[in-house]
Amino acid sequence: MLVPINWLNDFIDIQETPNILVEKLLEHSCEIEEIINKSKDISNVFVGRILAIDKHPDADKLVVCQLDMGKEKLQIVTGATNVKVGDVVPVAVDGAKLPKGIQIKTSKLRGVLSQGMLCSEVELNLAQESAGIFILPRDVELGISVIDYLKLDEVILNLNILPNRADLMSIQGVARELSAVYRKPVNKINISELPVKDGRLRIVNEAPELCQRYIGVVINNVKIGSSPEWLQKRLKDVNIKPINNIVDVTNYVMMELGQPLHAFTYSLIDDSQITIRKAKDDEEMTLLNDEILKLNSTHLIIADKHKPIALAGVMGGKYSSIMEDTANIVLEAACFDAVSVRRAAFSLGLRTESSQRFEKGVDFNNVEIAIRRAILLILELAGGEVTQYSDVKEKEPKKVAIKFRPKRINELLGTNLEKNEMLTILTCLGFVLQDENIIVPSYRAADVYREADLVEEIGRFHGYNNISPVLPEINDFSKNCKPISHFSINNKLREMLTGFGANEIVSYSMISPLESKQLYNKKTLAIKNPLSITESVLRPNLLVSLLKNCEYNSKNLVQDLKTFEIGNIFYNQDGSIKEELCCAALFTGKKEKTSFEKSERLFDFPDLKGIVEDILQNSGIKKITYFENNSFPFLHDFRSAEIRIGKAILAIFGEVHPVIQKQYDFRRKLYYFEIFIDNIIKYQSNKKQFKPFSLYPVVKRDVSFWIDKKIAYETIIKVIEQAKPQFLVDIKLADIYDGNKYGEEKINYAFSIIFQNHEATLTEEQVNIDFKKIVATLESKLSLIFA
Amino acid sequence: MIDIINKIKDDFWTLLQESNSPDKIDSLRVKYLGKKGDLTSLLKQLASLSIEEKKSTGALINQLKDDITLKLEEKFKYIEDQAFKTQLLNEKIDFTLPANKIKKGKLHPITLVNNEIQAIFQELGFIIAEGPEVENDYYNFSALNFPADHPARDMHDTFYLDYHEPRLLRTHTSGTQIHVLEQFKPPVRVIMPGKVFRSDADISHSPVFHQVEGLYVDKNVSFSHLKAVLQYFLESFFYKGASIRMRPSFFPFTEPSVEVDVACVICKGKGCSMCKQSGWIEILGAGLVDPNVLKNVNIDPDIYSGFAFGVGVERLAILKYGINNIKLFYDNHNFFLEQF
Repeated sequence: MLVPINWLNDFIDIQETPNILVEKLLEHSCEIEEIINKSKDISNVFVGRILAIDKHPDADKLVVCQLDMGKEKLQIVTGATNVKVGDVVPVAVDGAKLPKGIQIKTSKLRGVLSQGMLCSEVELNLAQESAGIFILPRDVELGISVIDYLKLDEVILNLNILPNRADLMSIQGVARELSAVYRKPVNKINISELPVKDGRLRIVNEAPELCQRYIGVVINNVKIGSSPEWLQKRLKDVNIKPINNIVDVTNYVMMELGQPLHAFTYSLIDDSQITIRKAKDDEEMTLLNDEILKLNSTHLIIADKHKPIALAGVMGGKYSSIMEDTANIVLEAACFDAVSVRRAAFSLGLRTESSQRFEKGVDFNNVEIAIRRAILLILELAGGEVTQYSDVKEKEPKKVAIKFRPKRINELLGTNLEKNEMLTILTCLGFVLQDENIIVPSYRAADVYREADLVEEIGRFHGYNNISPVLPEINDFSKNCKPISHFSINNKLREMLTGFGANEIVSYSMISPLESKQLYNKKTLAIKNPLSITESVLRPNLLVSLLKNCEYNSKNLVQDLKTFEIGNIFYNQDGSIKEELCCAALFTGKKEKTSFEKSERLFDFPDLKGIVEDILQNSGIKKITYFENNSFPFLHDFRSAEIRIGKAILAIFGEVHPVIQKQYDFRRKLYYFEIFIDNIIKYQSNKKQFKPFSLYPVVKRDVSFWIDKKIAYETIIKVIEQAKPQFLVDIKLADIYDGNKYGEEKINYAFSIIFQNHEATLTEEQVNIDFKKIVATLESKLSLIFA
Repeated sequence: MIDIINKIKDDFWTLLQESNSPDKIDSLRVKYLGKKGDLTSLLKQLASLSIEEKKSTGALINQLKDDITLKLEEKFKYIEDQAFKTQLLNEKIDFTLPANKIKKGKLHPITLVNNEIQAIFQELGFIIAEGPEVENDYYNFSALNFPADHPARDMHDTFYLDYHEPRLLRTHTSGTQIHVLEQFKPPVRVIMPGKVFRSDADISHSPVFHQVEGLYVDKNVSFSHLKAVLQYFLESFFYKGASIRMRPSFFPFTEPSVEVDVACVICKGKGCSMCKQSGWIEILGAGLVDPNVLKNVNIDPDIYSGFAFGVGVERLAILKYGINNIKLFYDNHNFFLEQF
């Protein structure tokens, strides 16, 4: 919302520097996006008259102008085609500065001296487009600065109006805020004298729920022409292009009072009747901007007997718009439903100054004030007489009254304000105390209708910065409120994983549906309105994120990677949405990368298993059982496993499927695990029980044998335990040898079996008994060849 | 006799100077102090002297014996010390060689900032709560007093899911306020960190970012409490004495609503490029809980009141670590991660 300070001064007398004004608005009212001062980038541009125009001797498209600059004469070469002898124009002279960093110097153009440049409105940054050189009125004093003449040093504020403040979409509204800041009254505009001849415009409101009020006025015998300079200047200041005196007045009043208005050519309204109705499906209309709209029954339109003449609250139609020869006009001011205008503007992509005001809600009472203001301005600028005036009101809004409880207001703000201080603020804003109630002015009724809203008004004008901070008492709130949070387990996981050297990543939850098919182990959920296809489904696991990150890193200098992420995964399970917290990690490349270590080795499966096992054990999972992986197609079929308790999967881990590895062109194997945090929480036990330990010497016995590869290592351990050796404390795998001595199916294991007595030093005999038991059991239960 | 003693003395000195190993020191000991040593044989010659001479010469010889013993010990110790020093020198390691370390991994800066925020609010008695990222309209909007088809919704570009019921990705953590207040009656003092989503992306906006929401509902909670809590937080997070400024703003779920600025963390309020010369940096949104929100969770706004606030984690991280591009947080390049 653009607010020229001098326009503001029509309503309230403030003699304040723009910077201070901005600070006050910021503190009490709204944000300022920009302080615009159009003179800032312009210097040495003066008014001059063209005395003569001659052809350029060497260029067909250039002319040579002689200029009278008042005290001196200049010669300027220009390519402009819209200038005539006698025109008064802005002249940038030698040394002039123009917006966008342009500097003007005397030079020769095709051999002819040119002592400056004639300027267009675009070159002075006064308009987005212009037809040629800016032609000024002929009576302007020659030689004066263009900044002075055009009043370019007047400051314009660009305010950022929040969605709840429809009332600030006008100069008057901003003045009301300043009234409460400076405790000064707002000047009212004079709208009392309204000469209306009999006659009522026929208005039929077929959609009373979408149009609460409609005032239609017919003014006869207006003379269409340009608006006066002052009005054009104000419109240009707020980035509205002047068109003609009638349209300019409607725009002027909209900016000033916040009520959008519209004018039609009366003679082009069939049957001289205005109908407010919903459009028929497939009804068409051509807008003012020449766009042809296909309407439907959700659109509210203004129509004559046969056709739409305006899309209500958004934009007028071309057919009945104001033309040069229009004599009689219909002027409209209405109160359209905010939601309906908003939907129409959105669905058609037409967000206009008008629709932006309607969608925030316009003031029922202001409709009449605005149209009267516009009528008086039209009569003044275009002549004519008001012949018809109709005001169709549907439901009049109720007055908003709020119980005034200064004590409660102070309690909520933490202040100690006098009742009178509160009333002063409210009065400046137009609120009235009636009995024990505060009556809200209709222009604020949309956002002030409860006590909390009064608290805000008083808070912001007392000044939030004037409220003293008081720390609330710190009690133990957890007695009452114990929400489930993963905070502590997440941090524990982070602690462990960083301990293993992994870096944490944070990724988007949205992924591409076009990655390797094997990555989608669950039915994914898609986003209806994604920003791009690559971010259009929710990730069903964290592997996708970690893999894409690995891909990015490996293409950017990092091949050895240990990363993890903790985040939600999402999937569709039998028609319902599942959102689940997981922790996953990806390892690839050299196990420990140091700068000068001689022997390096790559991260492998046992490394991965070690990390998973350690994490689970340290998370309070006492017994870890491994199963074959049956549910995660993104892992290698025979190099992966699940850790389950019953049906609940606590973790999965393994080598990333070679198919994926190949598709993404990773040179090294990737190892991945994913932990399902809620299942960990479900089965974890934080109970810790001390067990006495022995410091008597341990005895080690080695055994080595060949056995069929199909026998799982775990089975061998179980068999050893089945022997029930009395003093067994540990079984260590000392070596694996996969040689061909007994054929390819056999593998050699070397075990170190550790014995210890808790009560005394072990005797040779005790160890022998135990060891013999073990060897005998192994021989009887398994088919093996001792080495 | 005295001449002999002096000669022995001089010879010893010369020999001692030349002896630079424990072996040589030992042979000196044998030469002078051994059973057949020079001093021993000298003492044997004393017998031929008069009693007076015996006394004086004997004393001289004994004195010399003591001296030699001491000198030999000293020299022996010196040689040993020198040898040890040489040994240490030979063991010298170039400590500027690269470290061979088991590197600890790094936490993502978003986690670091989140943890810091949580620690500060825990000091003030706030408890951590979480809410779902996939929400419905009620929790993300309606319960938070966003009317349907209201311009307030324009501030939230929302991702919707392709699902048989309307579901969306939460646009803010504020919906968790509703989840918490549905489960627990006041007094409630919680912070709610989490991931949020907006269908809007440019240089300074990411479609995914993180917020921490705060909520305190109790009897007699006031704006001045809010102000003190935020002051405490921002001073703890940035620097002692950081001043804050509050400006009117609008959020449907708070009334009054404010935008909170902190004196620029770079220039401390003097004006720099970070704060665009204003001296202030917009840091969070806050306000008193709107009575409609309390009513939606069956809390009587005439008895209870509350405050709420929401802060962007990336924004805090950017200010704290001087990160110059929001994209870096989600690229997760190792060169980025290893800096924190």
